[in-house]
Amino acid sequence: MSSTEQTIVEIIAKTCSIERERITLDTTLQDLEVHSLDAVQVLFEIEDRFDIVVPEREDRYAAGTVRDLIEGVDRLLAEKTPAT
Amino acid sequence: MQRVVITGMGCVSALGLTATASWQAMREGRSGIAPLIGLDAPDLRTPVAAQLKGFEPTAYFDEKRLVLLDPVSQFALIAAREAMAQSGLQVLGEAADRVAVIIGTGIGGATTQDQLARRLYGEGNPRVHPMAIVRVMPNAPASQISLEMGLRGPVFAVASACASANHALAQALVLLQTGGAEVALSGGAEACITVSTVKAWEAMRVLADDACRPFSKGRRGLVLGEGAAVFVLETLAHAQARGATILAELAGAGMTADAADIVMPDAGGAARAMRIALAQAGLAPQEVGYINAHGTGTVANDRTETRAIRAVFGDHARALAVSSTKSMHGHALGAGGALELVATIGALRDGILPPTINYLGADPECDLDVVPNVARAQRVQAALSNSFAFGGLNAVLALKRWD
Repeated sequence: MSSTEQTIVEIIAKTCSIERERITLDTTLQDLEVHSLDAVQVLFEIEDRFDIVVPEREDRYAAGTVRDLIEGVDRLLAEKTPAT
Repeated sequence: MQRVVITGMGCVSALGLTATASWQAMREGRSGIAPLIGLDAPDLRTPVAAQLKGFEPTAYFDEKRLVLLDPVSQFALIAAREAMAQSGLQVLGEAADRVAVIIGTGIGGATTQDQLARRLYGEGNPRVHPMAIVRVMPNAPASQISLEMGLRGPVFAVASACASANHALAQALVLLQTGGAEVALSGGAEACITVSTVKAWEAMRVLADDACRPFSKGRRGLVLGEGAAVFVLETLAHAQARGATILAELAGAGMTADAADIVMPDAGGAARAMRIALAQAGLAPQEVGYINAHGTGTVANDRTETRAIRAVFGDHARALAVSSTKSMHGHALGAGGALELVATIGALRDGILPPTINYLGADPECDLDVVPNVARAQRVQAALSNSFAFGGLNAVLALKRWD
């Protein structure tokens, strides 16, 4: 498990009061019956923890699977650190 | 119970600095939404807002007075002055004891609060302005109107987020109906376009980045607005005794809570509020020709409001015109219902239904006649004005045309 994955799963579990075992890479927040307000809080925690800006209205973040979310965050982190 | 009528209105909004100008813009379907300006925060993501244009506080207040006035109170005072002037009411002697002032605001002195925090935490400056408290307090708009005009009846603020103005007007209605006052100045005021408030709305991810398109396909959220509208309400007996020009009758108000969710709207709570307003006004659903919708432009509000309207009006929901003027003046939170009452009174008086602008096409979940894009000449006898708030709070006003 990558550190991004670990952190994101931890954030979802804590923010939405969901057992970690239920959060697999192929589940969506909808599958987990996450309230839209909790989804917004998940994005906030992710932004705050990784110091990134998660764009609005892009399905891969809040509406896709946990895997989509992790990949999206990894991409934002890569964009943040310029290649040297 | 006393009947209650409206004899004056005043308004400052992104559409103009008077009720006349604001209503004229709505009749013409003009937008007050423009690029957001004036906030000192480089990382704002919000590109647009409905801010006042060409507003110069010193045109209305001297420097000494301005020290006491957060913009929210400035807006309320300017609107109150216009409303009083239109009503032609002179309040003399002990009559002032029978005049109430009830002003809704969702936040209060947001600009002052923001400046205070910036100074303390941002600039590390420990000295705070000694008038900060009297500028911040949510009752400041009501109190400043009372002070300026010498009104000594019940004076207080009502806070229920985006339903504050309608709750304030409903409270004034009850007070006049039951003999608690003979006249009331009531409405709402909000000056919420500050860095911290805009950032907080951004964080909720409900702000549109282009335009406010209520009930439309492709709608992307709400657009913040600001301003105030204040109305002179009188008992019918009081208005007739002095030969006042009556603009409309405020015939009923329905207030309910969803007790369901802190943000997600509930069709049941909204429908109950509309039914109570109709019953109190003695109106059958078929008599209502126009609804000024809450219509924020969020996905959730507009479809839930549509369901609520269909539940209350049944087949008549197809014949009704329902528009959201937030598409033009933005969402002014605690002033929202008051700006929308300017629109509702205008619709009843002029027989012109203001449009829902920026409409791109039908959303099957919002299958109402939303008066898309262009105003419509249509006489209506009665109208509702909906306001629904975070916290699950609903306040609906019922108005009748005065012939």
